[in-house]
Amino acid sequence: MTDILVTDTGFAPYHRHERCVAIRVDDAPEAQIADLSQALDVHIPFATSADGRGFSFARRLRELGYQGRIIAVGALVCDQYRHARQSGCDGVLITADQAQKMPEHHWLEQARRVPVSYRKRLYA
Amino acid sequence: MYHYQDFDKEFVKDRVSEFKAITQRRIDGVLTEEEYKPFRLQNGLYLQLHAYMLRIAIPYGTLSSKQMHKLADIAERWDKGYGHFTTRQNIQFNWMRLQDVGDVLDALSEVDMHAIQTSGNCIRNVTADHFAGAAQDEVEDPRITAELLRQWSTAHPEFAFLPRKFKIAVSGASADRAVIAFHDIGIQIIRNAKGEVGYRILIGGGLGRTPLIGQELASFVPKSDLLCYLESVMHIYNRYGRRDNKYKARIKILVQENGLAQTKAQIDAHFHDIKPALPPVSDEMIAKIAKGFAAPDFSQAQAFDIKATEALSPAFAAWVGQSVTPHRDPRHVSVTISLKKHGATPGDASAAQMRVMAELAKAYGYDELRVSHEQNIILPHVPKAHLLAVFEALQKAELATANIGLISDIIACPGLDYCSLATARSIPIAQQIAMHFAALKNEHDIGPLKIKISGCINACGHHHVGHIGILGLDRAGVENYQITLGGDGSEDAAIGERTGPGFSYEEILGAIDKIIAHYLAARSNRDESFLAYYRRVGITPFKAMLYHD
Repeated sequence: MTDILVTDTGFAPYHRHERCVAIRVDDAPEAQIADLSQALDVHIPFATSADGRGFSFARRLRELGYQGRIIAVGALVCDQYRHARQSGCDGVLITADQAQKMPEHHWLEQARRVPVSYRKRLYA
Repeated sequence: MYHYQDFDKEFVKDRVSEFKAITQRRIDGVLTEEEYKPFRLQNGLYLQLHAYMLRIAIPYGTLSSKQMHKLADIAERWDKGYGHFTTRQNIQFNWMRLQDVGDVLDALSEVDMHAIQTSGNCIRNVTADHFAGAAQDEVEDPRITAELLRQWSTAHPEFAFLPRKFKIAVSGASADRAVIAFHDIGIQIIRNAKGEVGYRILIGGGLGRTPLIGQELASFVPKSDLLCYLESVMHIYNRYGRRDNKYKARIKILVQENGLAQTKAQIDAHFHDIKPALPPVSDEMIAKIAKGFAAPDFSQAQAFDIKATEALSPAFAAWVGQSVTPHRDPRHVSVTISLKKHGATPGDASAAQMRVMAELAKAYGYDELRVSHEQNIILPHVPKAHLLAVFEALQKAELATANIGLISDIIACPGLDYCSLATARSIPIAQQIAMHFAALKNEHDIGPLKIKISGCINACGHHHVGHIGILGLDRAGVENYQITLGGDGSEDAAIGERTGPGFSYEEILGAIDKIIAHYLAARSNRDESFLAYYRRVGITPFKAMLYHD
């Protein structure tokens, strides 16, 4: 079954390709950044929705200068879409089963929300 | 005090609507309970033993009279007529109905309050010295920093799903009244040799199953670097904190396993790396926050000699002796209102009592109240001339027990009476001890003594830092209470030492009585406090007396 990529515009089918590189969350992102030079997509795995390590990995990759596409992959729910986006991810990859359980409108509702952000204001 | 601006109001409104949508997804079955739980907790909603519990944030323990009145309204309308002030300066309502929670959150938002980040594996409500802005030994009001941290940590996208909860406390004084050495991060505002004000940072303190005293991570962090430095602390914790075992997931275990030097090296390296791209918060923004904590105009108060009034009433004099703390302005004092009437549940206040305290704050206290981590309420700025009126009003409301800092001023967790994690009762033990020593009328003779009681190993009652700590456990279905001695949550931080095997529910009061009798008989004089005596003689005589005599 095809996976679904969730972005700000909603669902789109996603085919894993050779130039996807999966980050290992047990290794430092600093040690993996060199492997990403040819990557088209970087996948950051989320083992469970309660495991927020991937958000720090996404942010760190951006700080290290990675400019390609970063995709959060795994057990995230739509209410974590903002966390993924604000941490530096471009989208969330979910399975067809996840998409069926949590249809597109739930994700779009989150994608269209403009959350009130203290941090944005503090650093303005 | 800090007053919400339109932005803060908008944020709370946004957050309430977000939580309602998440809850609807749970009701509709879109989210599983496991998926819903982190969001429920981050919005303050626990499932307890008998009902839902809603924990409401009181940032750095500061409340206005209007907010206290609203808490009284909530207690009456949606709970059983009372609320429970907690050891992290919050309030919790233990008898909430799930269907009422949305309405309660709406009611709270009317007075700029909420329940955000009072629970869950995120950065929790930031606590501070309850005498902030009033203390004589203060370098700076810690609430300015605490409010900055509140804003920075609220809904932080990177740190909402941490390995475990994360607690920060701030002290602006030389005496530590915020227990900073037992927080994940403790912050002390200090002045360095050049006269600059900055931060000393402690890391890895905590109680729970593995009590540890925080270690110094940085001796001086300049003010402008604070948020960047804390971003680094949190980033390293989120990446490396253990997620395989919830009992080893706090940052204290990371520091313990990797050592302070390695943890510090990782944090410092990250800090230096991100600093160029993370500008400090502007002076203008800091000034805006600081303005909210400008001291009231104390100049209108008259000089007043309390001693003359004390002579009129022994009860008033006794209350003043325990409840009044000197203020940085000589015409004022800080008043600690005891929520520890003998036999009552420590930290509980009825709606009527909340209203009395709110009205006193309005009439005599510049409209300000504080919640202390010792589960009492503070009127931080009271003109001395109004002290008798405050006392008389408190007396009528059964809020004038003269026991602050004494043996019946006990911290106790909710224990088996409310908590689903508890293994033993805490509240009845606290009640028995308080009633026992009240009957003996020797509390004042015993002098300063902090008893802290936890009903399980998670140590919410802070028993490790009690001068006498009591830990209730379950031994083959029977409650069993271990005693620790010599704990101290102040700047002389110490973890209590266990006396030996525990005591049954029926025996524990007798054991405490023996400890006190021994201390009274053996202390060198009345000025030698229980803790000072313990530090002089150690645990051996107590062990001998408890188990061999």
